[in-house]
Amino acid sequence: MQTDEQWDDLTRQWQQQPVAQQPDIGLIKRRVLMHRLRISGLILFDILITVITAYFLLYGINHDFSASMHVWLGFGLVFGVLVTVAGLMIRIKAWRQPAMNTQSWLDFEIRRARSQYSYANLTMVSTLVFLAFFHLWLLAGMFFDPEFELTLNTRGIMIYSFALLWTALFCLVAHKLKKRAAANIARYTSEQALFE
Amino acid sequence: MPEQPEIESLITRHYPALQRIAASHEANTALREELVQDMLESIWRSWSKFRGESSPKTYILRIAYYRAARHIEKQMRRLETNVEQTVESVDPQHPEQNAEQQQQINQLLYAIHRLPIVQKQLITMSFDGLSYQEMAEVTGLSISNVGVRLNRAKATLKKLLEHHYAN
Repeated sequence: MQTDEQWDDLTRQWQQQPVAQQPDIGLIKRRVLMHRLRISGLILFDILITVITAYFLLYGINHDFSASMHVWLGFGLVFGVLVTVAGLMIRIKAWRQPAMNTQSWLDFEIRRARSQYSYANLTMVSTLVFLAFFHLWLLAGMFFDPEFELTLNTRGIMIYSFALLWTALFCLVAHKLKKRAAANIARYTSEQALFE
Repeated sequence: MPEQPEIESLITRHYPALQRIAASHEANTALREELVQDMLESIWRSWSKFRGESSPKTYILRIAYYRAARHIEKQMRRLETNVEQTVESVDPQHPEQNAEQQQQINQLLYAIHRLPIVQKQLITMSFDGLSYQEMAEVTGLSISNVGVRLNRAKATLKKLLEHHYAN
């Protein structure tokens, strides 16, 4: 490959790869349409869920729902609004993003992987904090509240097992995300080093 | 902003290059075809944002290389690694094609698959006859740096091909 002749030979091999000459324009248009429908559908779904939650919250306030139901509906509404706004912002950002050169998208990928890493860390820590508070609440209830329903009967054990399973699942997913993000940071950083 | 017929003709013009880029990033024929479709879809969707700051060709190539890199990441997630896959015949529907020529292409693709992203881009753009200016627009390197990085990429490719022949 040191000589032009060898390089020309490789170039010839490269260019002689058999390729189709005509793309299926109809297929591209269908895929673009499906993409738009999928994205619009997701955003509409988020908005719909938020509106339904808001409706139930208002309905609950007017029809004497229990206080705990108000808290759940209120939490659901805030969560729904957050998810919808975040979804819209991500779409707008993605839509505005022009075609990036390699250097820019490597920077972008590293930033994204770092945020994913931090997010996974936060999820793990908050899950563990939740677990600690859950046990404190459970212990306090068992020792200090004679009316406490969560004793070691079948229902109590089921709720406890469900909480533990849920926590373990969150931690496992967060751990996997963290590992993937760390691998991506390492990979893109080593790619970026080739620019220096 | 170019009209829809223009994007159609641009896509048709660069379609062979897009297929070669996909071949340099994916060994499996079915996944390669899926990658080409992803590239075409992304280019079509992004065309409304083209403001003429670069040439249409480099704009299209930037999107294609980005999709290819995202594809590698997705495949690594799915299979842990795809570099050990055997490079499949580029076109299994043409068995009459010279076997030796096919083997040469496979060896070249095998070596290209093992290059880091930036080197892979420079090598394939060089094979497709892009100028240093165009390579600089796609990668974000300065024109003077393109030559240096390309020579390094050629040296790495040479080592990979020698290693492959030795084995």
